[in-house]
Amino acid sequence: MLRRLRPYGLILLIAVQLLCAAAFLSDSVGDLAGGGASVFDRHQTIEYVATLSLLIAIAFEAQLLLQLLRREAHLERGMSIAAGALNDIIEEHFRTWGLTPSEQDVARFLIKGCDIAEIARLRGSAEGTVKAHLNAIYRKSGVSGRAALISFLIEDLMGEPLVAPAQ
Amino acid sequence: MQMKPLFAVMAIALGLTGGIARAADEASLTDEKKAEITAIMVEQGYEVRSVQIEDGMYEVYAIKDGKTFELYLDDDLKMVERSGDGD
Amino acid sequence: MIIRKVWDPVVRVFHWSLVAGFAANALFTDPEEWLHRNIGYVVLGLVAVRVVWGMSGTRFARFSSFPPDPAAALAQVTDMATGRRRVHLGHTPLGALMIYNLLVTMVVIGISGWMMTTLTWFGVEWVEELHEAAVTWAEISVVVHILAVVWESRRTGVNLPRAMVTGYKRIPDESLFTESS
Repeated sequence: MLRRLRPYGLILLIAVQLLCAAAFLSDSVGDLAGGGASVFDRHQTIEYVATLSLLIAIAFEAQLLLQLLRREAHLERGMSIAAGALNDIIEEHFRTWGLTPSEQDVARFLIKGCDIAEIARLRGSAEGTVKAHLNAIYRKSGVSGRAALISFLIEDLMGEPLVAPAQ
Repeated sequence: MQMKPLFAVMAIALGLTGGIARAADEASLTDEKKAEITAIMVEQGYEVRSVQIEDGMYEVYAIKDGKTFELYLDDDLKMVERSGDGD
Repeated sequence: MIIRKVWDPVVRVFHWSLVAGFAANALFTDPEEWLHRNIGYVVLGLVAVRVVWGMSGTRFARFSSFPPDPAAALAQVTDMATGRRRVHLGHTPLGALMIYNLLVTMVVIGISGWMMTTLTWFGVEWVEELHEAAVTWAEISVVVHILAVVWESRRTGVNLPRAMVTGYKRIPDESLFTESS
């Protein structure tokens, strides 16, 4: 069973790391401005490395946070194991196809059975925007419509084609 | 990812505001000097609240006769400027 | 385009007066001088008025219409992550957090500043350090606030700074609406 995830811990971590990075950065600037040390002595270098690695860590964590939130946006509480597996397959394909966050959101609504007008309403976009997203989704995935997309995913889930290929 | 430039700007803003504020000379004031300055001021009848360095001079926050003063002393510990309630 | 009246004159005058007061004291006035102190007291007064108004004023001015709500703030970040365009008529949940942060910080700055003028706390180092630290925190917050307002304006298609001047929000038709409270 999947629970609703609220990533407050991750957010707190990002916030703390931001403060640390700011402290290191301001310390470096202070040291350099005060003329107390040369630009590349050991103390300074450690501070630069610490700041840089903190910022890189924050960037990765932020990306992870956004991915988490995107997934949570479509998971229902207490999903069955089968639905969870389908969700994993969906995520993997979205990644392979290189769908943008908006395209992923539209594709998921599509799979759920929403029509264009409904998708537009749920996202606060114009229908034209949704159509543009759909075109991009079909182009990137190589499927030709909603039904094709859904069979593609189910075939994957079942490990073999739904209809026996012509001999 | 579109957030990266935003992060960069925020990180720089965070760092610089702090750094610029602290580019002042915390390092050069020893405890001995503080004690020396405090002694001189107490002798003149002041209650010394704090001794810092500001603008290249020693800055003393002191109280005398119920009035507040900020005094500036040069390297020879001569009073260069005095301002505050009493003046 | 949907046009809705959102910010009453009290909220708007408060906002821009606070901007002027904080900018004046953070950037221009001499901390030793009479003017700096008095602008500080004016800022404290402005915050007091806003707090009273937040408990008794128009719908979107009230604190009850933008309570601190982590779940709602997370939902707003989720919208950003999924590219959805949800518009809040009043302050957004993230905006609310920034507002409470700034209000509290201004109070800390003002009170620590006042303390420095009293005989009891004159020259006491932690008070001055608190004052300066709070100012630095406020400056960082203001930078973040400005960036966030610009970002949100572009993301949702609503010109937020303009709305804080005219009082009206001009919202693209398709937007997902959340009417707070």
